[in-house]
Amino acid sequence: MRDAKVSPHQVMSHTDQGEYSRTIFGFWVYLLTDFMMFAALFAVYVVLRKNTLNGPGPKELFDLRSALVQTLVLLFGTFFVGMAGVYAHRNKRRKTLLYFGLTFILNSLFLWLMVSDLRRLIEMGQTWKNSGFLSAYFTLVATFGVHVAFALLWTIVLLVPVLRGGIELFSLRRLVCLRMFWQFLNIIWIFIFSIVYLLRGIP
Amino acid sequence: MIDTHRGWNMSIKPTVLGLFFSLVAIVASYRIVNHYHFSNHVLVWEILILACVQTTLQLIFFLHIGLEARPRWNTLMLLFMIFLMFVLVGGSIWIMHHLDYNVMPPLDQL
Amino acid sequence: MFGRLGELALKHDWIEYAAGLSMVLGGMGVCAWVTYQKRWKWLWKEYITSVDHKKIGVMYIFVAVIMLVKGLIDALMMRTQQALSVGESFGYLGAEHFQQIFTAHGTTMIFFVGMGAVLGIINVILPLQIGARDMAFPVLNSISFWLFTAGGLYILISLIIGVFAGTGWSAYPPLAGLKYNPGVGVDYWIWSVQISGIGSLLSGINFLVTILKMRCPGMTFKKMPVFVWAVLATMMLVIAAFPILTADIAMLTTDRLLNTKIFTAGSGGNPMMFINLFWAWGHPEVYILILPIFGIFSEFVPVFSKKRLFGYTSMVWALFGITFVSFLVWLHHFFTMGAGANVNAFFGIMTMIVAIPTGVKVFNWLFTMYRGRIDFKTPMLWFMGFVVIFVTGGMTGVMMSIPAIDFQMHNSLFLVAHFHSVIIGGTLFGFFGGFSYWFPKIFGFTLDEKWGARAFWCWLIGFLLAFMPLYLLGFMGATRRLNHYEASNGWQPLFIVASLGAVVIITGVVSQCIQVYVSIKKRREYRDATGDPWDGRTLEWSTPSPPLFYNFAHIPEVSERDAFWEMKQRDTWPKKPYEDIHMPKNSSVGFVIGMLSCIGGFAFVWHIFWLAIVCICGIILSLIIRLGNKHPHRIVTAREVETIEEGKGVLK
Repeated sequence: MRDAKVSPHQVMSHTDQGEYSRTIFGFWVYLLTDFMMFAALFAVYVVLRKNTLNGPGPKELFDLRSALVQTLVLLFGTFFVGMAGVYAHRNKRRKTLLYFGLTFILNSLFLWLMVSDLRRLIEMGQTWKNSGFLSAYFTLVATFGVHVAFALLWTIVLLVPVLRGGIELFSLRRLVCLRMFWQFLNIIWIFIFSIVYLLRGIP
Repeated sequence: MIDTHRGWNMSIKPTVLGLFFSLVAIVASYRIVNHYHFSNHVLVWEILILACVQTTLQLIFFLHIGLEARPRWNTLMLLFMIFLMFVLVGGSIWIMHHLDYNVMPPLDQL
Repeated sequence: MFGRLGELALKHDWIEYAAGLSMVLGGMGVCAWVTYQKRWKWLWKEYITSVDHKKIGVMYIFVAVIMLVKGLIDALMMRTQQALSVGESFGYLGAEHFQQIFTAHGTTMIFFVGMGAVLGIINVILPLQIGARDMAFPVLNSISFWLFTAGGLYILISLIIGVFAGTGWSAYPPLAGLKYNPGVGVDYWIWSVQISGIGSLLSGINFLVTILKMRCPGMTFKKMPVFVWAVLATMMLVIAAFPILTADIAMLTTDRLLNTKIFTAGSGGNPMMFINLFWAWGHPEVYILILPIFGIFSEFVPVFSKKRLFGYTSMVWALFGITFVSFLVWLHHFFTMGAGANVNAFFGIMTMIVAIPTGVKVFNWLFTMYRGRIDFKTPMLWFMGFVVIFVTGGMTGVMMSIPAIDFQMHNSLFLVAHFHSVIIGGTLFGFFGGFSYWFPKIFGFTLDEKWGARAFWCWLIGFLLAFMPLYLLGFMGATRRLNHYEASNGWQPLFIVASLGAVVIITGVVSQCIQVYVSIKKRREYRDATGDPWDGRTLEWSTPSPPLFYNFAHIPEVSERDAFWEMKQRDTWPKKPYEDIHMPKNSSVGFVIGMLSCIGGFAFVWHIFWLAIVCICGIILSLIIRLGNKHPHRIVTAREVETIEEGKGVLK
């Protein structure tokens, strides 16, 4: 077991440094492509949001308070993951596990709230099959939800080696990527919250 | 040595600051919609600007954009993609709006 | 249990049976040959699980060539049909079959021949040119290749099981929607394009990081070969454009599978949005297909002119000028859809502007040749063909950038002639040129020049015969994708000439096959012993032919542009001690993910949902297992390197 006071990245060989730097940058580029994909979904939402086919629209269907709660839950989840990243760099295994664990709990709560919101709509009879507006809304939000689900799975999978062995360079690289992924999701959510929910009243 | 983004990778402060700024932005935008009565046009600008501001703050304080050592590839790639996202979303809205006006039948005839 | 897969899936007309059967027999023949040679293990170890960029590049090219043959057969069938189907006669192809053929032709050529050729060449050459040992993410590279292949398989599978789409390669709704095409054809198209698209996107990330982070010491941006600049520009296009396609097709998929109403007219959907997003991807895509080719020309035109490339700086600026503007022109693909004069005017002007940097590049190549000592080896022939055909095609593009003209020419054979001119004259001829140029580096012997020249002339004459009539036909009012037309149009003679052209092209392809065969037979005579058969200028020529698996025993240190040329002028070859080299190990994860994706997509096509979910879980599991692998590297000790290097007699 390596000395816990020395951070993994301080004892990296040149080869490992290169790999770390490339992986983090490559992952960032991937996140940018994911941003672009969401941009296309946002474009579709903006174009189709008026096509309610005389059914209820954003103003009638979207619960602003519920969206605010989801936003805050996700934000705190992201805050915890930022903390987790810091402790991972400092090679503090326990604190890393704790904060990633908190991230997992809060973001699972977020996902549950989001899915409940969608279920509420479906039970009201407002499904994605009804109109262009509802299709665009469900597609955008559900795609986001799928991303969250993957991130939750990734969190569990990544914590197993940390639980067993500690934060080596091998794990640090991936924990940082996971941290970035959660933070990326939070940024997407800012726009979902703003454009879909806060601006629901715009005709 | 890998790039620790001027030490921000190892420090709690930026994360806490990021949380604080984001909370302010979220609460502000929520209040603007709920408590005040701006015209639609103004409201759209306010909310979008707040969203962009919050995004920028999160990019800096959570994702440490702009802090990496030169050459700042992370930042450059981000700016490139942001520009193109504006082109895609803005261009699509412009195009579809014109198409809507020119060739779509009135909503009740859809 | 089996979704909507029933016996009806295997019902075809005799032509389809013949096609499917010949494909199956061909595949079985290859398998039999591999078994006879007892090479399955070798194939698995040397190629299928390889993460070596050179091997992966070769596999891309191999798949691209197979798909080229498939696409050319489609073309020949279409030409024959259109030559015969006049007036009383309706040719030999039913309308629905004809629709599938032109759809498969377009999809094959753009996604699997064009992208395959480009990604293949980049894979082989890029790391060598920047002095690196491999791409940034070798395993991801393998995954990208197998996703690409998986996508291509659908086009072949649809010959036997089910049908392919009949919507044209751009699959516009409402025709591609559930109401008008509930069958499997469009779904095959969807998964073919979606899966290979994800492969391309991952390659984009991979190659971008490679160029930005893995150049050898001393290779600053200004010292990079223009090919590397071209790949950089291309990868920026890839990472920005492909996510748009991913989203667009995903929404078409939900419309078809889950009954969303995003592109479904009459239910609040907007089909025009599909078209808008499709071309927001589609226009950058055609630049993705051509920019690397520009890079290839910038490589071998100086070598075969024995002269430095003219205008390095303007070449680089032109690449990025094209990249930037190419994102601002996409509406020119649907001027006629009705956005109106203001919108059309903006995009028309931007389209005209994007032609200018390309013109700069063509002039620069010609100025490179001027007063050079030109060696008309096969690659230079292909370049001259490019100048003639691509420039004409490009100019007809600028013609159509004027909306008023485009209103006449849109979807006519004039348009078809335009894009074939730029894609064949550009991408394909450039690919053939690059292939001939770098063949000795990859395989260790040069290609036969005589047959190369014959192939070129057949392609050039064949192309002119096949497509010049189409420009005329377009002016005469002929639209694309026509299954039948009236005799009174007077079009038939031109269609017959075009068919003749297609046949001449086929002789060109046959010549190329003969060329490869003859070259292999004469490989001892054509052996490239020095690693530098053309007196090259860039780093790939400093390696033996073929290069060792680790590319360079010592990572080169570069101080000038045209690094290898400078090294040769100085003629000092520092002898450094050998060091340990870290190389990635083979991995089957790429193959596994590719095959699971293929089966999963097939399951979605046929609504065998339990199987689709199993495949998705399988892919996730493969990734988890792979990511749990802590020691995917092997170390080639300095001793081993020394033995290999001395054994090869390499002195540099």
